[in-house]
Amino acid sequence: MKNWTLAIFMRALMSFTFSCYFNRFYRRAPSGCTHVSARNRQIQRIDWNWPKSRKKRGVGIACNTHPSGLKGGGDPSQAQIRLKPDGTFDLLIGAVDIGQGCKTILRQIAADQLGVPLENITVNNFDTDIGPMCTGTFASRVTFMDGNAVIRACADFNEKLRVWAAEVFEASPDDVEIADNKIFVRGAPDTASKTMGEVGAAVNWGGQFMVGTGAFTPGAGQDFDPETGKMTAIASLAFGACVAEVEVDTKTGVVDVLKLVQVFEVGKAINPLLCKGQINGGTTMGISFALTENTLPYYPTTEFAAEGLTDYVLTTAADMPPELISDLVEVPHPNGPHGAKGFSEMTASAAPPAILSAIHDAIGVWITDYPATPEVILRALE
Amino acid sequence: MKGPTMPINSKEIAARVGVSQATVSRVINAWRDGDLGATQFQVEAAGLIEAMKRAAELAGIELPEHLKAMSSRGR
Repeated sequence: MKNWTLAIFMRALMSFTFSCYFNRFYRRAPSGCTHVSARNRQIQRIDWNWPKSRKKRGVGIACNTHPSGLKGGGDPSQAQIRLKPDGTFDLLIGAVDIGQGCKTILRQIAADQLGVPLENITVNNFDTDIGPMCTGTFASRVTFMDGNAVIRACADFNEKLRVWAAEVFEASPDDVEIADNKIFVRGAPDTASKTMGEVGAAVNWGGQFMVGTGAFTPGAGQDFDPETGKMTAIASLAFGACVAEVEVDTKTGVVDVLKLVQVFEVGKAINPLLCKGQINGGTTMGISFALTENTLPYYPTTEFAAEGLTDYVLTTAADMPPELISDLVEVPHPNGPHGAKGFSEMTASAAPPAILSAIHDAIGVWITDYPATPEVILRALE
Repeated sequence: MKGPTMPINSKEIAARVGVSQATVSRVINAWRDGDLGATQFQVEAAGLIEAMKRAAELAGIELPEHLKAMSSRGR
């Protein structure tokens, strides 16, 4: 090739390259810029549209189910409710609130059972050495197990309160009603009635200590047949469904989750706002499972093992999909407190398979190991 | 395979028998009241079908009428 031919070719190549970059950087410039518009027209003429076509979209669905508490049972909880001299209550539990809101939920349950305002109940779980026993905050169990224990503790307290009131009012315990922060005899609410404040003062300054206790164990696993393996393995099952829409950049391997629809069947949502907060938190974890978290990226070798949170990448609120839709469905369980089931953990496990299924829908390749990092996507496309 | 085994298998099964993934693995196959679990326990208060129908509604997925008519209360 002669030098002048090479020069013309290189000039044309440079011009084309420059126009590509120019268009890429300024393609979203204000439409008033006529210079950029001219460049765009030039690009359209040569049909160079890879920045859009390289991104593939797909939709995936996944379902999950999760038991409340340990499979096979063996995870009891206890609760204690006591009346104080001012007519308010202490609810003692062993469960630890790690941010899921169990103190609020158990307080709601106690207030409902005792017929008193929410603010009249103080939840204490300050010392697990001296508090009621709780197997722990895990296995999506606290609402189910501790909730039932609180209901039983309140029932025990109400029974004792009815006996006390029957003596005071000279009535049958069966005729004593407990509601609206007071006790009264059915049919004579104006003459035979005391506020809970009056009861608290009379009981405590009268030398009595009125305490209700309750315990709950689901009983799962107690019917185990060693010959067949048959047993009632679980206390209750919650269910979930997730639809994910993703966009996969086939040039870089980056997966963007555009939309997540998640619905969980929770038996009874005792506190719907906390339930939805649980879903949002679990979604953050789920996207991490699906796309970023990996301790040993080249297992079984330990090369490039994650040594800290700079290598072990966690998603944050900033990585949430633009559209995050969550909802609750209720099918009350006969053994749950007010029908509630535990569902917290499953909020983290619905999104990952839906995301990988959506990636398959987008690029036609199954990613069979979590996480689907850009490197994994690019290798799969090869 | 360390990933989402069930969704992958169910999607492949659906493709092989010529039905949609939603049909085979999600709605028809969903646990309902009275179904038996792995240790022969009876499922109570099942809600998977109801959750799926609500998720489909929120995602704008139009389910066939026969799937919409299904319920966890029985087969």
